[in-house]
Amino acid sequence: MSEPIFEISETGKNVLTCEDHEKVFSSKFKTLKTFDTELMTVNGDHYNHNLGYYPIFLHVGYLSTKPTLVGLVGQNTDDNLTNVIVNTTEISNDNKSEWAAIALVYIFIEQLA
Amino acid sequence: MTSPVFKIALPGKDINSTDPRDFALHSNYSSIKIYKKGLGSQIVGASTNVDVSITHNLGFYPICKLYVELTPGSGRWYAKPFNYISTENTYINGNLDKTYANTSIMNFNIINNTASSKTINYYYSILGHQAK
Repeated sequence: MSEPIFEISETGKNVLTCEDHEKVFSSKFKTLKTFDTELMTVNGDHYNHNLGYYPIFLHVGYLSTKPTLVGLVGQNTDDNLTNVIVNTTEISNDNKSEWAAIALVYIFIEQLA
Repeated sequence: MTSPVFKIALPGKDINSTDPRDFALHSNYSSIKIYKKGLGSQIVGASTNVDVSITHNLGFYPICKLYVELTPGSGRWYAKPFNYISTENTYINGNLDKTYANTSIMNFNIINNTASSKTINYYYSILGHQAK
């Protein structure tokens, strides 16, 4: 017997016939589940996730001088860089430059590889 | 009383697993949701720049991603940020006052430094996930 599958299609799509990318959810695929969200100041601010693997993360930068704006993913905000690095136990904004941006980091429960 | 948990295990995984990676969905962990995504085109005159603004009105700072095709039909979609490309001489402004997200819009500024008008194609995605 095949395993049951739980799927939800987008509004207006037939879940039995639509493409996978037209589904809101499918139990066939992993989803990015949020482990934590961290605000990381510049020059070596560390956060211990202790997941035991290299987690997938996204980050955006912002500047304390412009608190009502955030960058797009990966954007070098005003040439101020976020140097976010990760290993199996911690994640850090390890920027050693004077041109550094604060990083808002989203850590997910899924390993990079 | 413990809180109820809704979870769906991946194929071949045990529903009683304690490893959250084994689940397609687990109500203890928020998943990335796509609030809005789209494709657009913007004409940018010679030696000028243009703002493109996409309204989301989420009331919080979402995570935003941008891809651009600097030469229409080339099939080369660059994910921002990308290095300056001399043959294109067109790029997305990195100044936070020009390219940013706030609680109501996603904005980006296209700079065309060539002597000709260009059409720039773009894909954007706004994730319903609070960035700040």
